[in-house]
Amino acid sequence: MDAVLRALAVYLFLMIIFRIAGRRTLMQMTSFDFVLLLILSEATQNAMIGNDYSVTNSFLVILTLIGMDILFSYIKQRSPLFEKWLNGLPMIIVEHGRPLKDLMKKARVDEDDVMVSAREPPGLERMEQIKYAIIESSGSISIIPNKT
Amino acid sequence: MASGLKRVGDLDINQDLDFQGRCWAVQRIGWIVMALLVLSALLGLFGRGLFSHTLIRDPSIPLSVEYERFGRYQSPLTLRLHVDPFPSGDGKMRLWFSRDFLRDVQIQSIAPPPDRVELSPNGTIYLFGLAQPSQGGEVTVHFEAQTIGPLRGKVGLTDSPAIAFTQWIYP
Repeated sequence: MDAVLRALAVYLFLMIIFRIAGRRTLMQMTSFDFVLLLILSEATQNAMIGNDYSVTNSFLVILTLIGMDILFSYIKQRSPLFEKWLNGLPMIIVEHGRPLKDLMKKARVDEDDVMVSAREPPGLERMEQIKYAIIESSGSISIIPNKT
Repeated sequence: MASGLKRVGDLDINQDLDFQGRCWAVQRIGWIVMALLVLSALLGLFGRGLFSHTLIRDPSIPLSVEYERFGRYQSPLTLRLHVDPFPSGDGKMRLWFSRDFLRDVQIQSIAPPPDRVELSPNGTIYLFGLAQPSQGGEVTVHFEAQTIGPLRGKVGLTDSPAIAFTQWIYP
């Protein structure tokens, strides 16, 4: 019983915390984000396993975590509202080369971040070449270049 | 995928700025809650800190109990018992712990170790020899809580009323 409750608590806690922290958290994957991820996993591990190092316990924890994941994906599919709150929605942050500064500020991205994404596969050089930049619910920035 | 697709400019996208605004508002509240939690942890509301450490003294008993108001499940906790000088006929000090307390904790160590342990119907008595007959002393008990929620305990010198204390154990 313990194992299931522990895993459940950790899963829900992390989900809420990451939703509160915002989508950019752990999304840029700078070297420090990577370190942060490692520390977080280290800190949560103890809470989930406790001092029961048995195989059964770890199986129960894994079953619970994966089970929760399945359950949530199922509910998300059923309820758009639930999905909205859980995943967030995409948002346009650059429109026809014009950065929407107010929204960008609130989403905690700047023009630099947009240009980083624009340089990557589209290989764009300037803001005017961007038709749309969208911050996705995953936190990544998609770039749609101007056709001309 | 939820079907919230709308046409914005040339994009089929389920952007919803009203919802986004509400999301940010909730986020801000969440940040405040997080900050408050960290602050209360620093103040000791989750164990070990200013608001956690406390001492109970009952003037009618030559005993005072120093303990943490907040503790965590299966984490080390310390109970410090100060015994003031008291008339002891046989040069022994008998510390009594209630049974319900001992049932809910796992005692790691008692320092100094007792000379003898005796069982009584409603608790356990730890017997310490005193260097001088009517002296007091200090006994430290290291233990881990094995229960979640309120942990109630009573401790006393056998021939006096006991001091009751309650600790809150977080999961």
